Amino acid sequence: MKLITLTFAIISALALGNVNAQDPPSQSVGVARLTPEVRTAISKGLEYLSKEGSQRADGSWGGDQNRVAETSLTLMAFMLQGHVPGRGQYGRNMENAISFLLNVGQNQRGYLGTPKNHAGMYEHGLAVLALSEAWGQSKNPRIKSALTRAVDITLRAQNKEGGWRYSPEPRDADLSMTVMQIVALNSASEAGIAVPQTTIDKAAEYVLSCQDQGSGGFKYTAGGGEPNFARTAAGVMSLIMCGQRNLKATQRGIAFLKAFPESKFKSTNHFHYAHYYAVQSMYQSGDADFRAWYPKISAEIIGKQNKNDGSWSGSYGQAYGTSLSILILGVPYRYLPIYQR
Amino acid sequence: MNPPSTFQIFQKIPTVLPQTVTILSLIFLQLSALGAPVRPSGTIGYLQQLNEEDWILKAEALHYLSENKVPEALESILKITKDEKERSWIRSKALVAYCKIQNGQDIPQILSTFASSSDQVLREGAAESAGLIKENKGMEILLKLTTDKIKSVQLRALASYSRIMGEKAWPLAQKMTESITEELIPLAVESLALVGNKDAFERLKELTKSSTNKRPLVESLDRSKSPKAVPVLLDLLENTSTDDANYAYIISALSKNNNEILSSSLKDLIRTGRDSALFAAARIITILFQDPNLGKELLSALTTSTAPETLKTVMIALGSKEMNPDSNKEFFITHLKNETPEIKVLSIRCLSHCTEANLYTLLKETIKDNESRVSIAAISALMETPLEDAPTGELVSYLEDVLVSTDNVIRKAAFELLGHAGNADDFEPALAMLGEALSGTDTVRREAVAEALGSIAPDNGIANVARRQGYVSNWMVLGTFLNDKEHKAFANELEPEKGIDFEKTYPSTYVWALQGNQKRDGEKPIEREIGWSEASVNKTNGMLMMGPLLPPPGTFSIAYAVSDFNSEKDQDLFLSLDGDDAFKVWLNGEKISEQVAPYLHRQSCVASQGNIKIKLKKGKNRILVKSANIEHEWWIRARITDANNKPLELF
Repeated sequence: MKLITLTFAIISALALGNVNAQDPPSQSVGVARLTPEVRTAISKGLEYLSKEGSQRADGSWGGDQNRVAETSLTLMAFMLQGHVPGRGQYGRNMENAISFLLNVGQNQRGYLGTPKNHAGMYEHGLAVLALSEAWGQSKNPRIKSALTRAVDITLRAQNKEGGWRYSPEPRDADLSMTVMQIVALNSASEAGIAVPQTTIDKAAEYVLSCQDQGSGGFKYTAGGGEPNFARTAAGVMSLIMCGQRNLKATQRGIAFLKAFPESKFKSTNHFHYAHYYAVQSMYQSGDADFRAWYPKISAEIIGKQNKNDGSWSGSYGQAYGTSLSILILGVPYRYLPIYQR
Repeated sequence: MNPPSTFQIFQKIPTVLPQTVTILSLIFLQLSALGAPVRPSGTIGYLQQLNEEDWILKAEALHYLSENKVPEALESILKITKDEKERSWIRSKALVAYCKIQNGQDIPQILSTFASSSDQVLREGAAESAGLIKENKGMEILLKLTTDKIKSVQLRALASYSRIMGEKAWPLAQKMTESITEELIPLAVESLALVGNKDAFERLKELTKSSTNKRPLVESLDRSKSPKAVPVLLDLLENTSTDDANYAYIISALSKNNNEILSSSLKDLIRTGRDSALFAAARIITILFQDPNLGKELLSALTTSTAPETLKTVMIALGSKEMNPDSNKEFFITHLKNETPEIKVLSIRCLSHCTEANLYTLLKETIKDNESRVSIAAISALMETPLEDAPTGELVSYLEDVLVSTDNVIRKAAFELLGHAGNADDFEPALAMLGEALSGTDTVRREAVAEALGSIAPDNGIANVARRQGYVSNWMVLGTFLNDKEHKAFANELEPEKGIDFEKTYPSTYVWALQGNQKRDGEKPIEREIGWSEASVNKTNGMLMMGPLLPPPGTFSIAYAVSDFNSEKDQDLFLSLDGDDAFKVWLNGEKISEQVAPYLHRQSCVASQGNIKIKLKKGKNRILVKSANIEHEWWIRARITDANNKPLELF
């Protein structure tokens, strides 16, 4: 499935002699057309990310604490528009980013979290996601072995309730971290890395245990915390990834997201994080939901773009805000396997 | 004062040292980083500990520093050996530590001094230390000490001599161990183990048998570090009760030997065929050393006369996952029919470790065993069995005997298994078999059956299970109306209370609030039109969960639920109600109950009222519930029974 989609994307780009893929050949592959405005915003964002000074010499983006996370997100942002590592306009940026991630893994026996980041498993998950998407596009032969080792760490870090938390060991769990690992494992599995179904099933069980029975929203942990928009978006997306799209619990979550006040499009806690999952949830939910959702969030995101340099501000800096904004806007590109229905 | 045993020393260590060691380890790490020579962790602490007054701490430091051969300790240790105010035993141990660390061929002056001392304890220290001098340079002192006037000094010297000379020491050892008093047997045993020839072992065995104090004997054998001591230790184990404090001590000594030696000695032990030998071997296999090859030996050594206690121990050994229990499957299956219930239970547990056994097939008869513990063990094992092994669609008949067992525990376990391994195909047969329990007055049984049926029921079966228990199962629901933390809207009369019209819609307002706070900035009230919709209870315990039925988020909300039902006659019955957070109930337009649970943030707030006497009229009756929720869970439940608590199916 993954390879077919990626191959289609690449072949399409080649057929039109547009390896750079700044304007992919078909903007109507998604259920919602990408407006010229959206395409321009994404392109400007990618230009910002590729600018000298944005990417570090070691191939990473972002501050010292979250470099793996920001690099992974940025790499995915480039791939979203069909750019290929090692080729074309951003090929070198992407190859350097992949090398950075691989080096982190090599130095830490497969673990991909930034060493000083106490919530390193989040980064680990994002890096697995990015490398899984990159595998098949990049010619770097180290990706597969790095992914295999990283996935092995993830599998071993699942706790007895089925969840994950900050560090790569099977102790406690929270929804946010668990969702990250589910998304990562799903992508790795699509990429051909063996992921036991029992791991996914247990993870889904954990996510379900975090659902608030009263509202249908999702809480931070099974035992506590209030449901909110961001957690519910993450919970719904992960259940869909676990193959539970038609589950009543998932449908309740989607209803929660839709019914949440419209102010969610303007500002909500963990804005980029929340909408990264929410827009995918709506995409997976079906055409009608996505058509109702996407124009609102895309308009809001475009409104937040820095018109001077094409960047977006985010909770963890420009690379974070810019890459996630692109990933939210670019869902209709449908090039990344994670967006497939 | 008697010298402390190793056991006494090590008993005290854990309570005294950890913090000191940790702190000093950190200092050590910092020094290492600065380029200081690498020393074993904790060295600095133990060097300081040499100056402690407490003899146990001092002895422990000597042990550690000598085992790790810390050269910085030599000076301080030498000082202890020369300190005439110090206990002889500590001085003696200090000399041994000194020679161990020095590890050379020079004889320290203090060793010669000790060897000619009038203090027996110091001479014993010299005897032990002289054997540590390289190139056999201490031999002269050793041989002299073997003729000491005190027997313990002689034997200590003999042990050192034997360590150096091995089998060549036999002529001297033969002579010196010929006639030994009981308290000296351990020292003699150590020497003989170190000599290690056949004759020495024959004598060793004789001595061992005549000794009543096993602890020093085991210590000596352990100290000898001779592989030939393993059979002797096994022999000791065979003749030691599991309740004896020495039992664990012997196992600890055995654990220090390598697997090859242990395996070979265990094989010899098993092949004797003695019950006690099999018992000892099986214990060692369970506790210490899992080798599937030994399992085969154990199996072939069993006879029909093997005692039940031994058989049990052997089964425990063979059933562990590391012993490849699949290879012993037939043995376990055979013993499912053993006349001893405990053996049957063990067989079941062992079989549950076999990956190639379909327990549903194997336990078909065992599950019906007359002994409840056997039956329960079988059910528990099936709970752990892969679901695909369960007989799909036939699980109810498979479990028939236990599902209707008169034993409550068996029945409960069977219900759990049904709920766990059953699926929708099993629902109707299960309902037919167990339905009677749903309308019975045994609450525990009713709830267990309902839970089991709920686990396997198709979506449309849940309400049926609830209905048969007397729960109001079909409702019309309307919501939500805006409430607040003070339940103002709950107290006020709202439109639906003035008259029910299922065709009508109502304007309603709600405010999206999740944090227990309705007044968040920027959140405006939302207006909408709401109407009645059909709903069925979604739990077999009769709960109507409001959250999934109504628009999210369901916080600070009011909803109405109506159920119409027929009564064949005018009759007096009893209604029990509960709900989270508050409810008002009307029967045929007359208010019969109002309950509000105190608000608890993020917790269940359950209000309830049981056994309200109600009068039903012949024909159609209507129950109306007004339910309020602040946050968290939101549900209502109503059940109608007769005076004997027997449910009535009215709905």
